[in-house]
Amino acid sequence: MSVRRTFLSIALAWNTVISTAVAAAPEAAALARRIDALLAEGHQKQAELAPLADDATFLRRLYLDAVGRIPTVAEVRTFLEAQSTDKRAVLTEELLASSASARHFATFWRRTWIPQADTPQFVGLSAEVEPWLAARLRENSPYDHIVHALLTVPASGKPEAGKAQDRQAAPRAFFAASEYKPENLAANTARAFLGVNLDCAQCHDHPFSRWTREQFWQTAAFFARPTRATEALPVRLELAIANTDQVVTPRLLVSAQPAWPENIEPDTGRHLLADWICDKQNPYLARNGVNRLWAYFFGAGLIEPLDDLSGENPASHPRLLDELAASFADSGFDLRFLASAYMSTRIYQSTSRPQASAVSGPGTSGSVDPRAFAYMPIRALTGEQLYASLRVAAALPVEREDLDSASVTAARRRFTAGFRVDRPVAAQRSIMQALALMNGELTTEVTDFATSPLLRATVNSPFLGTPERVQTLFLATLGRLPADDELVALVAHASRHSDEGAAGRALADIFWALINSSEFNTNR
Amino acid sequence: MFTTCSVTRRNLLRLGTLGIAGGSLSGWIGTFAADVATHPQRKKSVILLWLNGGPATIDLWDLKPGQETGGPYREIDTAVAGLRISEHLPILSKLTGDMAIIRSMASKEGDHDRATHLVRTGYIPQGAIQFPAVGALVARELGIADIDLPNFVSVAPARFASTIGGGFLGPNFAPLMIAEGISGQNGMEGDGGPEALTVPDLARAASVSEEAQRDRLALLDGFEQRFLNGSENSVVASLNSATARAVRLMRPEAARAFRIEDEPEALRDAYGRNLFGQGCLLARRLIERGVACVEITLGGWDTHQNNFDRVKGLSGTLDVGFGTLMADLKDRGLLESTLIICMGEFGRTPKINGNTGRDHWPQSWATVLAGGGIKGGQAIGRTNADGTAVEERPVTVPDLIATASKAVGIDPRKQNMSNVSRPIRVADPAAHPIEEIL
Repeated sequence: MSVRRTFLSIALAWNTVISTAVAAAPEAAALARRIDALLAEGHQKQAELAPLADDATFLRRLYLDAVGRIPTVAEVRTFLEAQSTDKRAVLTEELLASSASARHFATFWRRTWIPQADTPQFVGLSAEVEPWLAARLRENSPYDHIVHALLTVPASGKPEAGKAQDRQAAPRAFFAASEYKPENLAANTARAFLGVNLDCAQCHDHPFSRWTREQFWQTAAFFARPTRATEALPVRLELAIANTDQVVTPRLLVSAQPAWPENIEPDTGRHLLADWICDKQNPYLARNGVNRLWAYFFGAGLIEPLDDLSGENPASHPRLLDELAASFADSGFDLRFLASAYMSTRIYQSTSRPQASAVSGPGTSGSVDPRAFAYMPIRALTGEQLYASLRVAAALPVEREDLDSASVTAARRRFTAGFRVDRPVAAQRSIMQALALMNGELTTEVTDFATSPLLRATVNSPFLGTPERVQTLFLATLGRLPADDELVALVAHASRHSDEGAAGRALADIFWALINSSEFNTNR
Repeated sequence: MFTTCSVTRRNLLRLGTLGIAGGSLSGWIGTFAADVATHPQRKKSVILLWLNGGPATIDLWDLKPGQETGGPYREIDTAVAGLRISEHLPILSKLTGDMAIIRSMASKEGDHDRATHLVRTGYIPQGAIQFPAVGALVARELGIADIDLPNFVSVAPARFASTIGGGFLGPNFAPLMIAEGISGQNGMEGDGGPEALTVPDLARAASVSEEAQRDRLALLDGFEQRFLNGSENSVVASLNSATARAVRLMRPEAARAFRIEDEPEALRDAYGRNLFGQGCLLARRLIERGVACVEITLGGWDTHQNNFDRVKGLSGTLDVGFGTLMADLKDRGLLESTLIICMGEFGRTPKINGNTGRDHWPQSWATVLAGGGIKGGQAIGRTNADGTAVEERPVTVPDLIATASKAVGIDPRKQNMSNVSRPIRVADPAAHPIEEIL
């Protein structure tokens, strides 16, 4: 009873903060409240919930998560000065509906589904699949439709020479990344869209999970080329298990089997498999989707590893996972609704400072289980976030893959490849990355007066005193104002020399230190 | 160093505690190379000479003279009675006493990328598992935590191989890459020359003065102190560690390790004035300063056409670089503690094709181990008369990796947690080390 009462008080207190968010997206807000409720019990037992993050911290997090870059100085100022109580919710909806958000999440889902495209061998596939994904996300296509389209690109019939490919048509990237091999397609399909790891079953019965080698190859057989009809046998799909004489035919991982049509076309198998995967009753599609997006926002999945939903690893919050999957499916697999719900939760609005663990008692911060979801994790910026944010910080235009010249996109690709991050919550920086950020081309460009609009404008504005200049650098990089002691010290540093040139150099030095700082390089 | 700082700033910045500004010195920093070489804590090191593209080992280490498959090369005697290798490896022929030539390698991977993955990590590609390069495993086990230099350096990695790095061990064990993608791939022998051997972004921008650099690092140190205050976080710790290590690598003492121009002209000549030869010299400089693993790529071995002219030229480069490296390490008392592995992703067909070339052949090929305290002066295993099949003592890639691991004091059965939360052993559990070498 006391637990429930405490939860109610938390929920009520929280309600007053986001009251109008409910008006902006009622279903998302309702789901957010349900998430808060289901997490709250753990917060009582395991860990104390971290306090609410201030507006500046929240805003920077919101921009990085929703559109993949930090906010501009103007965006920070506008938000910090806004008085409305629902400004967080309103801006969240606004950003999630933007084109920038569609492009940002296109990269996220591409990396989730086709991680191979981050390797040199398949690097061209990103340029093919991400614009298509961005277009689907911009129009808020249902998640199941997107998955279905990727899985059912025609097996034959490459676009005719000279004829532009239908812009709506799904690219063949998922198949190309699997080298069109049935066994690769089976493993990658299960991992990407179902969160099921069949890899081990390719060679032997999986020792820890329910999948057998036969089941693996039966799944792969959906992607097999149809045989030729003979007098004795009609056209069928079949596949030999590698290094054996055993031949299998397509069979789903569940007991119910699809109804096969009379005529087997080259695309029949993949269509039947895609229909089953994207069926609203399929428990894995929705669970995998909500778990991947949960891990994106909150650092850890409700189930870990992310590709092992087979049932051996219990969810940290089983009921929450079930309800999220049901809500996602009921919403018509609406990704924007799901993201909005996650971003409206109490936990998303928390600081990244773990509070005392309820288990080990007060004063033992640092021992709070991240899977209690009682504070926001500190995440490294991905290469894409870092590149865009460096340009935003310097007040340079954010580059766009779809508008920029090949040389510009090549520079962007080189940078992001050098800063590739798979799990931002566990990212480690290399020496080469640190050297690139300290001394590299982009840093030199953004910290040089000749090429950094921010530095030029800051130094050349006669109406700005040194404190305002320092403040501008903070807003541009960290999205917050300096604390009093920071300001005093940095003003003293910038005022050491009276001549303009030296003062400008001091500001460039501060800007350099800011963009190399951990605070700039993380989403906290 | 910070005499220009105001008192207020000093208070704010609490300088130097993170070591970013370059304050701290470890036992390994700033010591002379010779001291490091004889340091009691010194562990073994590994140098991988990577012959990219699949070397025709039938024309290097396991000739078949007189056979239809044998090609035009002659065999020559070596320092070890009865052990004969290619006439185009005259320097190495005198050093076989410290070498074990494994002539019975076999694998199933005949595709460059898959085979490279297998040989460089010990495992075939498996879905999303990011296997670390063997060099990263060596760096993790034998690396020195507080060394100024990175524990794994890769010289002239080919473009595909450069994606094999720290893997699930993380970027701390990823190689520092020098002259990336220059050694060529797919049979191209593009060679940037010795001048390509520089660390990217090691020097501060020309427009930044030494004083400005000091100010910048001091300011950064202050921001880090403040941000870290009281919190423990692995992402932030990794950022701090990388920045601190990068700053240390920029220090003149560390950066000097990469200055091969400091070596005597005669020695540089002896290594060969090409990217591979100078890369071998750089490897020696790094190893003697305590770096755990250095790999150097010599590309151009994908000889589908004109195999014999090309392999002759490549053999010369390999002989001079590899041979001088062994001699130089021996002179400095480092050969016993430095294991050299010379290999590519597979061998080439004994059958000579219509273009006087040889094609991919994973069924029977050779690798060479040298130094590192192994038992040299022997050949392991045997292929049949025309070189088409392993006839005696087949050795798999995991066997080789387990052997190399044991030679340098790494337990091949040690498990590391992978990115898919499944423990993976250093060498595949099915591996059997080649005991007669150890």
